[in-house]
Amino acid sequence: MGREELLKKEITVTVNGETFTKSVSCNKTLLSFLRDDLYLTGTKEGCGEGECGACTVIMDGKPVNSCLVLAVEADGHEILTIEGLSRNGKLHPIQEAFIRYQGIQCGFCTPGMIMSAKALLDRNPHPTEEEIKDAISGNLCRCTGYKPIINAIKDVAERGEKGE
Amino acid sequence: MKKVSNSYIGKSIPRMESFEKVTGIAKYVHDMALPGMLYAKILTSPHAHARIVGIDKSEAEKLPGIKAVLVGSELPYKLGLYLIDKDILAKGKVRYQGEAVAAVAAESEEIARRAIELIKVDYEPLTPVFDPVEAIQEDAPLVHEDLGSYNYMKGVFNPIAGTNIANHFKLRKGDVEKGFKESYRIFENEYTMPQVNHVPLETHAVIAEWTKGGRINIYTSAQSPFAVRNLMSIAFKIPHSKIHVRVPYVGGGFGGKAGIHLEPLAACLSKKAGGRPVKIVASREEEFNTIPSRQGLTARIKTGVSKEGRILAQEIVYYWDAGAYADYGVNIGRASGYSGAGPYEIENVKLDSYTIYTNHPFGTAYRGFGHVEFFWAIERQMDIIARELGIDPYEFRMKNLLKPGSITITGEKIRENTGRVDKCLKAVVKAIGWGKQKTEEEKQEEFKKGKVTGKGFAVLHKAPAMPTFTSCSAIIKFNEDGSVNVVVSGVDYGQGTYTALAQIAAEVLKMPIEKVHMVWECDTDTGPYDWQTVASRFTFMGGNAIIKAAHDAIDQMKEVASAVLRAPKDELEIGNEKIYVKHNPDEFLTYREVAMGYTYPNGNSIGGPIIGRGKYIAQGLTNLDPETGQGLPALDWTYGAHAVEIEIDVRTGELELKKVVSAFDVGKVVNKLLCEGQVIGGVVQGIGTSLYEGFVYTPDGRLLTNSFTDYKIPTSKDIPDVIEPLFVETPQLDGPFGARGVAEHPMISVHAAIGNAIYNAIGVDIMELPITSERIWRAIKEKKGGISGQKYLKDNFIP
Amino acid sequence: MLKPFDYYRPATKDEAVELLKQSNSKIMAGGTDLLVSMRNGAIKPEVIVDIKGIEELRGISIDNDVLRIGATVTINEIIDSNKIKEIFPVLVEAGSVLASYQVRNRATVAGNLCNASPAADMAPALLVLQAEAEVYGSRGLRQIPLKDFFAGVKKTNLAQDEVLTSIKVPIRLGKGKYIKKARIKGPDLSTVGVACFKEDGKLRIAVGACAPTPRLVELNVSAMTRKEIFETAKTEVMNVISPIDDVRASAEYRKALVEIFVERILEEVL
Repeated sequence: MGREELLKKEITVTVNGETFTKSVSCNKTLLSFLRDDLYLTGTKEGCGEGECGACTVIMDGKPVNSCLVLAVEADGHEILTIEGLSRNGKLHPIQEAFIRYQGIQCGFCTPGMIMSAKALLDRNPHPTEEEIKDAISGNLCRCTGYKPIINAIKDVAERGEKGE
Repeated sequence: MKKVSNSYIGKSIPRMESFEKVTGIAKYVHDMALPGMLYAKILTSPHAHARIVGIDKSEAEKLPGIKAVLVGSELPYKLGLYLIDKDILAKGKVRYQGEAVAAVAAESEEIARRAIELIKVDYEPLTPVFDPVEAIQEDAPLVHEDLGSYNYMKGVFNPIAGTNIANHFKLRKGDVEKGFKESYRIFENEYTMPQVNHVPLETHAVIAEWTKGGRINIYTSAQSPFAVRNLMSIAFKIPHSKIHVRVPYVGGGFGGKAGIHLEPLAACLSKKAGGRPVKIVASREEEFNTIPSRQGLTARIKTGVSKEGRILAQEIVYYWDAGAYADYGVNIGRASGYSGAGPYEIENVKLDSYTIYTNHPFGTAYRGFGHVEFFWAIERQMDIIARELGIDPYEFRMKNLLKPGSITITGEKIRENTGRVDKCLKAVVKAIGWGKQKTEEEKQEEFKKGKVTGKGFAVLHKAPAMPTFTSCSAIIKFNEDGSVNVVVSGVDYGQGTYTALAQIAAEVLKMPIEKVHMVWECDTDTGPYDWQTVASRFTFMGGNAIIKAAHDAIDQMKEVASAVLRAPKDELEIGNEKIYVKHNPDEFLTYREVAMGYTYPNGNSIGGPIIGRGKYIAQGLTNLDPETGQGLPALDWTYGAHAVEIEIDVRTGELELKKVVSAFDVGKVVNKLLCEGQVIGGVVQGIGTSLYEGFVYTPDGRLLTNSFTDYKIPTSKDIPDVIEPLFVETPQLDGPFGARGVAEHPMISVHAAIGNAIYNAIGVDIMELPITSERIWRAIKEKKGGISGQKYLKDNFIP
Repeated sequence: MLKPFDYYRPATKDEAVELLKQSNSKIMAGGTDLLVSMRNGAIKPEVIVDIKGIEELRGISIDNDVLRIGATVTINEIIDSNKIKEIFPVLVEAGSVLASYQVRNRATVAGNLCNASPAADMAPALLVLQAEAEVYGSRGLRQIPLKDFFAGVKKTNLAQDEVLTSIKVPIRLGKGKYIKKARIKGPDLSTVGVACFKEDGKLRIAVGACAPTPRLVELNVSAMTRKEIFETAKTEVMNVISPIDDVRASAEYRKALVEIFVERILEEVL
């Protein structure tokens, strides 16, 4: 057991605007930290290998696969998850568009997909269809066929809506 | 009164649970934990076929934090729905690489992982068999030596002891020999497709506890809570009432979460661990390699036709690669038998559908239930015949398609309201612009540019494949405020059925849909019975049950209103959440006033809480004759067609899908937005099967494509520029508001339309799936002249 | 899930080198290959040395006509760099088809090389640019020309305690191009990747996923006709590749694609 205690580090991470200081095992992923330690289960695990994008969160403004980031690597960084997207009960325009266009079916890829879309529109408010497809091509969806998702993102871009 | 009739049917309403899903609030089994919960891991077989000589688990059991270590010999249970052929953990021998051999439950995932590494299994490899056609040869190694002793659904299936044939479905109509004799030409071809994985984004997950009191409580990511309960009750010999299955949000199913999977293993681990809850979450690798996938198929078709293009006789053999277990596979073989000639009227048919054991990971239901597989053969065959006869493939199909008055291959009469495949085909052919073909010069011009376009199409049909006695039920409970909770036990794992059902409930009850709450978590303790959420049957059967439940509730409310308003029941009408007197609408009671019982001003009360009850059972279905396959297997047929436009790089074989148009006769569109969503999603899943997906093995049967690195599914960059859903509406007389199911159908026949378009573009026939660019490249290379543009290719590019 | 390990985040490269002397230690930059290999049990390091905290390994710079890409520069930093877009668009082309956007936010150019996958997209593009790896270890600093960097499938010529500190690319005028074939258009490993760079009388072509290591062909084409360049380039390239059959494609198809891609790439750069 001694070794296991040794293989822990203390980290300070800001998640959805709230700062946490916790001791975590070195082998814990950011995904597991968010889900198991902070109970933010909106971020999903679909493969654990950075291939499906269900675990996408925004780290210092950039989308990353949280299954391929160690919790210790997040020390001193800022993380935004799906739970931090809607503030004060108001949905983010991307969330509203996903509902309007039904870029949702089973909902399991949805949080990661929305985080990728948010990061895209933050860096490029008026993407082309090709840019949208490229930005979400790391987020697998088996239900929707992607079209409704692309249309939802396009619609937000055209309306020029900005969330908080 | 405001007219509200038909206001909800056909309306585009977003999924009712959209908010929960876009905010990450929706909880899946993946997200759940119970107090004292243990974590399970599975040890899998490295061999495709081997005798288990011994298992040493002593080291694993010594590990601190380990609460249970299980091996097959401790579990005297067999599981199955149709053919009871599977142990919870491999016993005596392993039948596929990836099969679960042992399992552990521990205080943490890390301890469970370490324990798995400490279990030592001694194997003695056996000769494996992988090809279904080889597996039915006389000297083939047997996958199940004890097949003869297995229990199965008698009168429906036909396993053959002493062979690898888990089921032989036979269909005989007319006289094929006579038909072939009368034929002008006969075409014989073989088509194949590999096994394919469902790839739900949420892998299979379960939490189970087997309490010391003998109750089993389960949370599972499953499509069919009652099937899980029933099969466990049978296997464990425990009363149904002592098994409690709950299903929260489910991250995709596609058939892969029908039946039963990890639930019994989790329960047995919990029992051994003294009743603590145990969670198993399949890793993505296990999802590919251990959990079942879709069966592979080798199809041989012989078709005799007249000079004018009428199909006179068809002989079909389907060899299903069921893999190591065939509980579900037998029903896929059967379903693909009774509808396996496609939506065509053929007088003489001989069809044999063999579900065959092999040493591959096993098969189960997958969107289309065999139809995606066999339509690859049927619809390619139709195009090949048409062109060889010099008949336009559209005209050829139109001559042979089922229409009102036709008799199907099982002897069912097609009627005016059965649905119209011809109208679907006509719609897509028109939308894709099929007609005048390119001239030889135009083709040469395209070849010179290196990119050649083509168009193709294909039809499809499918009816729910289910037992004749399939039933379901619904409860509508009024709340104190006059709103309702609708309880059903079919699962909405993304299809959008609950929203459609809410529309139906609101429509019949004539109340705002905002006041209809679909109870989300399915619960076998409190919910009404439903067989399984499969076969595109839920809107149809669940919809009918809800209509009946709504009428039951209305009747109860009228009963009360009749007394209070002093009017006979048949003079009462409902609307706007009121029960009123037909000829005097000012005389009314609100739903709210009667919801919990009506109270007179003096305090007297009558009625009581309103609970509507509705049920529906498949009507008129028969078991099929074991020798001829004749009978009535289909509750309702949904017909459809796809047309595609493609472009091929003639040097690399790369294919670009430009456009897909799809039409389905859904009877009545209940929710256009969601219906289109089903079509677009299904088409893209069909594109995966068409172009990319398929299991690849080492020669000794180890699955190579067991991760997203090696198994690719379509991404946002792999979809066509245009996907156009179209709907034909020939009302189904016994469907809710005329509707039929359309969940599986969009995925069927996409591949054949693409295959036909490839021939249209470059004159090569692809007979195997998936149609990778390498397959197209090879087909171009190997084609020895005779195809348009071939000379140009040969002169310029082919060494 | 990952097996337990210890994690260090040194602030200097000397500290890193010191940490790497521990047995069974591994360098982590983006972690996108490393964590996957650890997860599936291909490697089981007990010590992870995260080099992202080392200031001098960061950033893209130009110094004395040499482009320097720090060891922790991510693929997306390459794609977004105006400097690189202007000088070496071929690097942007290769980076843009490497994995998904999320992965590219973590994955580093150096990591792509050090992982030494035969299918690494950045390798052919950097090979044709005659890049050099600057390597720092207990024996000090050394430069390894990229063509001598790879030792085999997943093997480099780095010593256990050596850190690739930066990739140096000599700046020169010319035209480059990268073409990749994958099974899908979305993120996928390359089935075949071909890079090319043409300057003055010199032509270099590199091929990925067709041999245990990325292969480079260097030609002096100043005296050749266009037709001769095509012929020679094809012959030379086909001579250095030795593709295998795997789940992505057959060797035969890979060869055919390389030949087609060499032609197509020459059409563009010549």
